[in-house]
Amino acid sequence: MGIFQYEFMRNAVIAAVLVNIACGIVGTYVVIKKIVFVSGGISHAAFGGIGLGYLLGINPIVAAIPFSLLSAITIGLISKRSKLSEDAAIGIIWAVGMASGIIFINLTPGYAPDLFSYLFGNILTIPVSDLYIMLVMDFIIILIVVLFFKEFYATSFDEEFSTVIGIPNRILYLVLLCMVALSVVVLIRIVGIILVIALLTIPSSICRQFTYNMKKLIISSIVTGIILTITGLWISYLLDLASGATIILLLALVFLLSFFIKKAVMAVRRLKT
Amino acid sequence: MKPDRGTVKVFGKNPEEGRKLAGYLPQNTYFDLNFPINVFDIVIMGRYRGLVRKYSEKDRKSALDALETVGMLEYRNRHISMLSAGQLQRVLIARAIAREPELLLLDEPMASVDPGTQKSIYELFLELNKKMAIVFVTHDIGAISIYIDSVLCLNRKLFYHGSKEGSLGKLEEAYRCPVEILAHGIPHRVLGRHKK
Repeated sequence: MGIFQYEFMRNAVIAAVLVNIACGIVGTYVVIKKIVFVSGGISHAAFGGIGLGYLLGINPIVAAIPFSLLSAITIGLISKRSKLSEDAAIGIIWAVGMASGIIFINLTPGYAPDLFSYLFGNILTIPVSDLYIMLVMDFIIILIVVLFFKEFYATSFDEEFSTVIGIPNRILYLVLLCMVALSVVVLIRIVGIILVIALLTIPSSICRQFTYNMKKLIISSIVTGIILTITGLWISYLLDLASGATIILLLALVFLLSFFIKKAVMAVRRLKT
Repeated sequence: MKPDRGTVKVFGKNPEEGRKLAGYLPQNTYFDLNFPINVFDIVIMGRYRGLVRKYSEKDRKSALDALETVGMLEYRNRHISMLSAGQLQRVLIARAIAREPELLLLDEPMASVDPGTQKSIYELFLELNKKMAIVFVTHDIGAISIYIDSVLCLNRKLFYHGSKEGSLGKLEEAYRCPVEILAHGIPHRVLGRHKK
């Protein structure tokens, strides 16, 4: 594995680890609470922040943070407080975010050189400064989930009962959407806006077939994500393919395999009994 | 939800404080049966007392006691997808009583339970009733059976049929439609006329 002698490869591996810590945790909640498309909306809205970053001449990732937090809170508030249904809210925020991103880039003088890397991701071009941003995001996400594990668990399982026992469901939902927004921001660098959903949902979807324990599910999702991201990276290097797309196709392939493995395990168990 | 008029008191306290004294079994449970959670983890949720507070040894013990009361102790590590509807209902009852409430609110508790299981669950309620007050909300008039002490009929107005009432009367007045009571050789009770 001579490829790790390059600094960009070391950075890519560190990024793979950091990003999958956020995704394993948040992605597990996204999958069990079935808010995959809420996350899709937030990630596309983040494009507005990227465009704003170009216009203002600051790091687009930094500009995407407040932008996606704002869109997360907007989706959460619109769907709970108004007559507009949640999926309509998602659709509007999704489109408005993308459109404003394009307008911001139009207004930016000159050509946006690595814009393509925000849409489809490029784990190989990650600057060290972005690694620090990812580290901070991971820290915030871990802190929130460790502190409020019980509450998130209860509200994800049964909202009605959670209300009865005095859990602040609405606030927790907004916090969860904000965590989705933070992990979307760290993900944009790796797989790009369009493919964010894959890293948030596929590792947890693979692992939930094999465990019913929430903590094991989160940890195994993180480990699965790290292994598959690095393997995908390696394959993309060997075959000279785009890294983000290779990682995602590998994730999908493993998901398909895990599905059949699960079926086979169930069939064997049935034969034994 | 706030009442349009009047006030609601639970043991003389407002409902937010009264929540601590009441256990609740919802009518419909919409949760995902593939959710990663086992029986014990559901029941201990009933012991939740506030943000950041961890579940104590006492909370664990109360959860186990509640499971024992409903006869589900041996299933405590089982995943919810491996339970029958009646077993799941028992687990949810355990979750409600794990709070050690003084009042147990049951909203249509028999809705998803087959008749054979219903009998055993009624008997469970009878047992629980020794320790706590139980309010049993139902649309199934047949359920007003030997297990119940006093009946309140609600149809725009609330009619109270005191305890141990057994004389002939009309349910029609409460329900505004002819009422037929089907009782297959089971002791049943017909209630007195609604007095305004």
